[in-house]
Parts: sequence; C-alpha cells; structure tokens
Amino acid sequence: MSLATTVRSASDLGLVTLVGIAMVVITVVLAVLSPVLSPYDPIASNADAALMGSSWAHWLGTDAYGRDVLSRTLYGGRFALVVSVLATTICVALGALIGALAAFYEGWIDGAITRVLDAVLAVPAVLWLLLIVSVFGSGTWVIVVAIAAVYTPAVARVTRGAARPVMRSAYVVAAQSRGEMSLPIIVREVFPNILDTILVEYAMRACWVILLVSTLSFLGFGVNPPNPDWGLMIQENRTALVVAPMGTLSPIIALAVLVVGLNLAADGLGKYLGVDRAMRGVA
Amino acid sequence: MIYVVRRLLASIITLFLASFFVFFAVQALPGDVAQQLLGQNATPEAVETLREKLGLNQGIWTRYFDWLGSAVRGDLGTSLVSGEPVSTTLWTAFTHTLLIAIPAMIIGIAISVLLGVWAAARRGRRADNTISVLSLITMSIPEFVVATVLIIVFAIAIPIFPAVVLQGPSASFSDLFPAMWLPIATLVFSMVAYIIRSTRSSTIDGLTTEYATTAELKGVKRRVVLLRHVLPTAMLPVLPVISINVAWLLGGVVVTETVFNYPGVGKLMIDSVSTRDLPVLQAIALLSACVYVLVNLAADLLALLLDPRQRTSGRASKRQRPDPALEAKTSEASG
Amino acid sequence: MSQPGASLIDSRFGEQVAVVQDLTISYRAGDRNVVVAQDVSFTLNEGETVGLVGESGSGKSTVARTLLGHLRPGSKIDNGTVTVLGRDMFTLGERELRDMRGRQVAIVPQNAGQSLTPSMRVGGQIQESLKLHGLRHDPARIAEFADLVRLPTPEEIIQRYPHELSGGQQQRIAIAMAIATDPQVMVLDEPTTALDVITQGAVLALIQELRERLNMSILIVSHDLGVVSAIADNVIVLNKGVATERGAARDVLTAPRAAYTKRLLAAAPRLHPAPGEPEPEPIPFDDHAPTLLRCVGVDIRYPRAISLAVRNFQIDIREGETVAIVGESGSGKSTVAHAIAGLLGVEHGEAVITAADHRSQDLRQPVRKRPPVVRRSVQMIFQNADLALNPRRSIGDSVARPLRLFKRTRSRVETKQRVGTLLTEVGLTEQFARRVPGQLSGGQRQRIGIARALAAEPRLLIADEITTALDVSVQADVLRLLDELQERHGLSCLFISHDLAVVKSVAHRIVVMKEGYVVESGPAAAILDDPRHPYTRALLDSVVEPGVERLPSVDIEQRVRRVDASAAMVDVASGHLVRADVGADL
Repeated sequence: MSLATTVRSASDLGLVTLVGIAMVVITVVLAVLSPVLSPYDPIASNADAALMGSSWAHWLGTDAYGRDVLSRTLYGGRFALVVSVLATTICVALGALIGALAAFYEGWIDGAITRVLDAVLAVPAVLWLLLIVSVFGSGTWVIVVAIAAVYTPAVARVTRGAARPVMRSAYVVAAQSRGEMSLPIIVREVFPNILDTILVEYAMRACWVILLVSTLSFLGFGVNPPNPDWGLMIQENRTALVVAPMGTLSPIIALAVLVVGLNLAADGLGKYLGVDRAMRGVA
Repeated sequence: MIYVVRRLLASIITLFLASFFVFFAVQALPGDVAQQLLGQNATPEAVETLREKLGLNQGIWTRYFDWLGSAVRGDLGTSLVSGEPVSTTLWTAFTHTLLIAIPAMIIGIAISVLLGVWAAARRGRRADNTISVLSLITMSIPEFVVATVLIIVFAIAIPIFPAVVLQGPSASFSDLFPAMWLPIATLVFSMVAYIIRSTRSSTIDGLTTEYATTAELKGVKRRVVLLRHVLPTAMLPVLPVISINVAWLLGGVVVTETVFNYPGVGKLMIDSVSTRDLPVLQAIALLSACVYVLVNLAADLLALLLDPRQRTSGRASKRQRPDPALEAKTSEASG
Repeated sequence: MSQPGASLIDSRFGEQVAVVQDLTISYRAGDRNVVVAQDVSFTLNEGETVGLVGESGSGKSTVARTLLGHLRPGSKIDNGTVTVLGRDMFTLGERELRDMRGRQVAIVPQNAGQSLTPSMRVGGQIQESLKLHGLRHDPARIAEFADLVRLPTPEEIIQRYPHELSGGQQQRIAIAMAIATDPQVMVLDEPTTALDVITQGAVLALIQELRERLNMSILIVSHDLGVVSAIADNVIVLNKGVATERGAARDVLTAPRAAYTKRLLAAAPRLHPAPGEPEPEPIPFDDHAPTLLRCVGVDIRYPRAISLAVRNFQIDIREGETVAIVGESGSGKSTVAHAIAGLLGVEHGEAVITAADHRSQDLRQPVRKRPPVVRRSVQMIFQNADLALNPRRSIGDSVARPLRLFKRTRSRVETKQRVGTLLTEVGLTEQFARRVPGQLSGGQRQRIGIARALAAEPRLLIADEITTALDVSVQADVLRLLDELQERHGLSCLFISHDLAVVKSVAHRIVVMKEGYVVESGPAAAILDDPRHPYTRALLDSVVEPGVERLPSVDIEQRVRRVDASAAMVDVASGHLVRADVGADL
C-alpha cells in the first residue's frame, strides 16, 4: 500500500475513529514511558505526605500512604495493557481457529464444538476467573491464560458465525468443484473474508479484557499491593474520596480514556470494514 | 415441536458439559487439595480428616458422578467453612440476588429497547447521536466505577440510600429494601448499552427492508410501520443479547454485590474464593450454568413466538441447507 | 422533451391521471453528484398502460416510484414535478401523501417475497390497506380479493404467513393488496422478475384481466422487453436516466428508431424471429461425433435428504456439443449440474466421461474422490459471477489457481503469461490480472469466470444459469464468447437455463426437466417446434417476447399436472424422447 492510499484510507475512517485511536495511542505511550515521565517512585510511601491535595510537588496529590497519584496513574495501566495484549492475542488466534474449523466441518464436529463452547459460556467469565485464580493463585501468567481461556469460546462463536456464510459462498463452492483440499480452502478462500470480523473482534475483546483485569484488581485478585494499578487504586482510594478526590478520579479518567478510545476505534473500524459489532452482547 | 425437543436435549448436554468442566477445573488444583486448602502448617491428622470429608481417597470419576448425582437431587454438599449445607446458603443468597436482578432486568430491558428503537427512528439526528455516544461511554465504564460514583453521590454527598448493606446473609427483606436501589441502578447502567446498540442497529436494518418501504407506500404511518411491521422481526437478533445480559444478572453480579456488600450470590462467590470454599464455588457455577441454559431456552421460545418462519417446523431446518432453486430465484431477482 | 409526453396523447384513453414533467433526480456519492434521471417527462392517461423499460441503472424504478411521492434516502429532486390526479406529490403534506398512497396510487413491488412483512399474516396485510383508507375489511371481503387474484382456497390462504406461500402466490397477494383499495393508478415494479416462466405468464395474464375489469392506469417497469410488450400500450425507453425513445409499444418494439433501442432489441434472445426477420437455421451438429459424457438412470440425493432430488436422469453429450437443461426452480436442473461437477455424489446409475487422458472415467464420485485428470476435465461456470469470485483475491490470482492446481504451467513466468493469454482470450486485457472483482462490471466478472474454467483445459464446461444476472446486451456478448471458445477448443457444454429463448440460441439438444424428472429431450428444433409433453408446451406458451402482444391463458398454471412417477420415456422420433405422462402426445 502506497503512502497516498494509506493517508486516504485514514481519512475515510472518520474523525471520531481517529480521535479514538489517538486516545488509545496517548494512553499506551504514557504507560510505556511511565518510568521516564513519573516524578516519583510509584510505590514509595511517605507517611508525612498522606492524602495531600494537588500541589506543585504532587500535581494530582497523594494517597493514604503518601504515594504520588500522578506516578501511580502513569504506571497503573501497564499491567492491564500487557495482560490485555497477551490475552487478547491468544484468545482471538485460538478462537478464530476453532470457529473457522467448526464452520468448515459442518455436521457432528461443528455440533460437538458448539456444545463445548456453549458449556464454557454457560458459566460467567468472572466466575471462571475467580475459580481459576482461587485454584492457581493470581500470577500474571495465570491471569493471562485464564482470560484467554474464558474468552476463546466467545471469539470462536463470533468467527463461526462470520465463516458460515463464507463457507456457503459461491467462491468456496467453486474451489470445492476444483477439488481443492481443506487447508487451501480455509487459508485462501475463507480466511481473507473473515479477517475484517476478526480485526474488529480483536479491538473489542481488548476493551473487555482491560475492563475485566481492572475489575479483578479492584476485587483484590489482580495486581498485588503496593504495586500500582487503576482498578486497585480505585479500590484503595475510594474511601478517602472526599478528602483527596484525585486519587480515585485520575485512575477512573485514565481507564475511561483508554476504553472509550478503544470502543470508538473498534466502532469506526467496524463501520469502515462493514462489520456490525453492535449485534453482539457482552459475553 | 421437534425443534423444541431438540433444543431441550441440547440444553441438557450443555449443562452436563458445564458441570464437567467446573468440576475438573476445581479438581485441577495442583498437589494435594486438602494440603493446599489447609496450608503447610496443618497437622497430618487434619489433612487426612479433610481428605476423608472431600472424598479425595476415591477415584476422580466416582467423585464427579457422586457430586453430580447429589446435585441433581438438590444436595450440593457441605460448606468447608460454615459446615452448613451449601444448598441452604446458596438459596438464601440467590433470593437476595433475585431481589435486585429482577427489577434491574425489567427496568433495563424496557429502557434500552425504548431508547434503541427511538435512536433508530431518529437515525442520524440529534437524539440518535446523543444516545449512541452515551451508550458507547456507558459501555466503557466498568461496573465498579459506576457503583463507586453512585455511592459518592447518593449515599455520601446526598445521603438518601445506605452505601452498603450492614447485615450479613441473614438480612431480612426490610433490611435489604432501602439498600437495593443503588445496586439496581448500577446493574441497569451496566447492561443497557449493549441492548440499546443492538436494538438500534437491528431496527435500522428493519426500517430499510423492502417490506417496511412497501408498508409506507401503502399509506401506513411511519410509527405504525415501525411498531407493527418492523419491530417483531427486528427484535429477533436482539433476543440473544438480552438473554446474555439476563443470564449475567441472575448468575451472580460479583462486582456490584461486593461494592455494596450486598449478600447475594456474587458476594457469596467472592467470600468463598477468599476462603477457598470449593463446594460452594462449584455449586454457584452449576447454578449459573442452569440459569444460562434456562434463559437461553426462554429466548429461543420467545423467538419462536415472534417469528412465524421458525414456527413452521421442518421449514426452519430446510432453510439451513443450500437450496439451489432458492439461490437461483434470489439471483434472478437481483438481475 | 419540454412538452410532456406529447407523442403519447392517445384518443383511446381518458383524461390524464399522472404527469411527470422534466424530472431530474440525483444523489450524492462522496463528492460527486450522480444523476439517476434526467428531464424525464411522460403522461399516464385513464385506462392506459405505460411501460418503462431499461437496463439496470437506467433509473426506471426510481422514476416509477416518484408516482407515490417516494425517493430513496439520499436522493433528491433537482428539477421537475410529479403530478398525480392533479396533486403535486412532492409538495404534499405528510397526511395528504399518506391518503394518496395506497388509496389513489398503489405499488406492486419487485420481489413479493421480500416486500411482505414476515411477521404478519397475508390476510392481515391486505386488511391493513383496507382499514387504513376506511374501506370494508371483514374476512369475507379479504377472501374476495384473494379469490380475485385467483388464489386457491382464499379463506384458508389469507390465514397464512408470507413464507408459507410460493413465489407466485406471494406476488398475487401483493397484487391483491394493491388493488384492494381500488386505486386509479397502479405502479408495477418488475412484477414478474423473480418468478418462473409459467407463473410469470399467469401473473401477466391476471394483471391484464384486472386492468380491464377495474379500469386502472398502469405504469409497468421492467427490464424485460417481452413483459412490457405483452401488456403495455405505450413505452418509454430509459438509458442511463434519459428517455431515449417513446411511442406505441408495437411501434417501438418492432420498428425502433433510436440506436439504443435497436441494440437492446437485437440483443434480446428470441424464440420466434422478429417480424420480418427470417427464421434462423438450426445450429448444425455432426451426429457422428464420439460421446463425451453419458449418464444413464442417475439418481441424486442431497445429503441427509429424505427424497431424491433427481430420479432416473439420462443424458448423452457428444464432443463439441452443447446440451441445455431447461426447467423451473426446483426442477433439479442445477442439481444435475452440481452432481456432474462432483459437488454431490450420484446415488445410483451410471455416469461416465471420456476424460482429458482419453480414457473412460467414472463420474459418480464426489469431486474429492475423483482423480485430478477427471476433476480438470469438468469445469463449472457459476450463475452469479460476482459471488463466484473471491472478493479478496486479485483476478490474476483467481485465474492462476487452476493452472497451478492442475499443473498446467511449470514456472511463475509461464503462469503469468498463460493468465495474460486467457484474459485476452475472453476479451479482456492482461491489465485485469491486477484488479479485484469489486472493480469489474458484471459482464467482465462472468468473463473471468469463463477464463478460470478454461485455465484447467477442460473437456466439458458446465454453465449454470451464467447469464441470468446480466443485462440483455451483456448477456448476448457472453453467449457469443462462450460459443467462440467452445468452437476453438472443441469443448462440450452442459448449459443450464430457465430461459427457452436463450437456450434456443446456443443448444444443439435440449433436455426439459420437472420435479426431478426428465420429461422431454431431443434435438433443439424438435423440442421447440414440435413439443410433445404438456409441460414443454406450457413452458413454450408462457414465453413473452418483444413485439408480441399475445399472453398465455390466465389458468395456465392449472394446466400443468404433476409428473407420473411410473411413466416411461418413449422415443417418438429419432432421438426425441417424451415421458409418457397424461396429456403427452406420443
């Protein structure tokens, strides 16, 4: 793709989508650069400076342990972002594969896959996570694998739904009439035509994973104190909200910017690629 | 009718598989479960007693079928923490959850379908844009933030409602009544966005169908076209979205109940996770799966009611198969 | 053009009921303004039927729908007026417009299957029209209308939902809904396009009958010159939004003056020669050519289906020969094509082809179990070229795939060259290799479909309704191309079509199918000039052609009987086989 066409397609995405992408990019850049940008060590407590309001020294004030809210907010997205990228990548890759296979092998294989997916979906995601965390503990990798495992069936279901009409399309029938094998049909004919759906699904899943990770931290099963995390910060600071509101508000705002941005980007991308994502519920 | 029977059969298989997954996920606890639960400092006698209690000395399959068999008869085992029957504890918690889930469900579905249809009818105009942007933002705010904000505003700044439930699982209805409104509001807020968006999208599709145009060209009022011609069919793809949300509501709303310290299934779940009360966790998972299956079944039956095409049994399955004659017709029509 | 329909003032008809004057409609696409109709003017008089003909994109539907004060979202009127019964349809208030719609001007939309509300009973939809405009709407009255459009068991049928009716029945309900309020003007938007030939004939006959009985003025929109010819008094030919010719239907469709109309008429396939033209010679064929494909007693069943889709099918195709299978939807013609292409297995019978290795090979197996040389020998061209090409792959890639799969080329360079040759051969250029299907027109895509089939170097081409989705002028080009390539490469062709006129222009022999059975087969001339089976006759009687005003009788559908499962095939002349059903002339 030449530079000119890239630029044109960027403008085709629409202003709202570009704003969304910008919101995501800013949050990610700030999180990546947090070691450089943070004025203080995010876990260094200072009993003398507890629950201070905004000042030149602490722009966003401090929390109950006297830790700098700005530094903790800058660092606070790192865990959720890393988990989100890893877990989303795993569950989308795995889910897309399972969904495509289910769509390809109609009949009993599809039936069996669908039943298994449905059985996993029958137990709410949060409950699965809590079960897994209570069995294996809450390490980063446990959380990544758990979230990936819990969301894979949902992605598989969406992919299956997108791949089924493609499987019936005349160009797949044409490939079958040439006597093409299964793999070339999936790779050459089906996959390029469900890529749009998968891309949008990725953006959307990433949103939900971030929300889920912060929820876990908020419930006390994610990041361990004193490490900074938005969900955890909201949990820790909400009791002191009246005294030092920024301790709660800044992680909320940071989280909202990231997730609203992702949602806007996913929406715009979906519209641009012709994938209607409003037809999906939370799963 | 055949469809309903097949659907029921599939539900039972789903439930069975779900129970299987839940049981083996819990049993996958590495090492000796009893040792893990009691910690490294436990006496060997204590560990052995627990092993006995959990039936760990039997084979895993025996334990699974024992557990499933008792569960079917309503016996979900005994809590490791309180020593009480799990079914009693769970039932109390479930009634508390229903107390907030059912109003939230009714209010949430009503509001969101209404707003979704309204946005679709005013597509591209200010009402639509406002609703769309607001629902997108609502979707992006996690439940615990909503709950926190509601507490700040309606329990601290303007103290109308209690911030948390002070009574534990033994709370009576009169204890819970004043405290249930903020949780309900949180739940409504968390579920509406998805239903609004799918309703809007599906209704817009419905309004651009040829049958909607035909009805309009018969001289039917736009409002009547929307309500009589478009809505019954447009609600079909929204039903699964609603059922997912309803299943979520009934299957234990962990976050909301935790924030408000509300003694429902979600709170019970969190408490059981911290105490590693496995029989309770297994029972909750089983309950959630039952709710999910039942709600989906209800949604399918409702779809059957709304869509005469699905009612004509046999035809529904026929439509699934590629029919060359039908394809020929549609392409002729597009020519 | 400034005098509205000046040439159409006709003493046969009453007063003007609808006047379209200097109508220009456009919509915005990106930064461009696309004109859909430009300065279109015409008049519709009391009791008159005006036909609006044109190819896809001519703006005919858009113009017709302005009579109901309707524009597609995004379109706008740049100039001109539409007056119906003295009222300007685009200045009316919402209420007045609603009172006009359905009551004074009614529409029978293009595809009744999609135009009836799926969640409402059909009777309820007729009732709605009546109730809306304050007319009698009791069940007996609704049944009367169902009876008027000749639906069987009216009281029962109005209780059904749209999906429980056949395409023809749905169209009749749509007509009943439109005439129920006794409107003065009726707009028929491609009313028979989605229907089978015999049903189309019956519906057209019904429209003719109703228009005389109810004294309606009708505006009929169609791409099919035959349909317009059969019922219109006057016609207007639209080309890219501009009225290029107008006049009495008979004059325009037999002696066109505008170059565009001439082209359109010349391209239209015909069963009977245009008035004044000689009967074309039957397509010659050497009877002694060796047999390429032979099917005897073939039964085909869809996976897991209870009953057979095709029974006791029989066909012989010789080298270089084109055999056409004709029939309506559900006749099993496409099923046969799919089975020979290997997309379905043959359950019973014999199916043998002389493959590219000159050996006799079995065709009963599905494609996955066939040896490569057999797969390569049979290539299919699909009905809808836009759907049969992967939208995400370049044209070059699509055409190159069979070359590689069947090892027709050895190197990348050779493949590229061969793709170029193939593209040139189907009348395109090498530059097309880099494009994607979305950048091509319908006709170009079908040419790619042909190129892809040729790439395998087959012996038998299966053409499954390949021109159905194309405009007539494009259709004629594609058929000519297919004929040329067949000649050049010595290919045989199994040509599947529902259109007898198209079949006449290409086939050496014809097989007529109904309900999964062959009812008649033989040399094209024998079938078309001397049909012996009642079904074949009904098919031929139902054909409407440009310049011909004759319509089949209104009860033609009832004349078609079910096929007798036990009847045998009888040879009535050399190679002309007829199924011995009731009414067959043996």
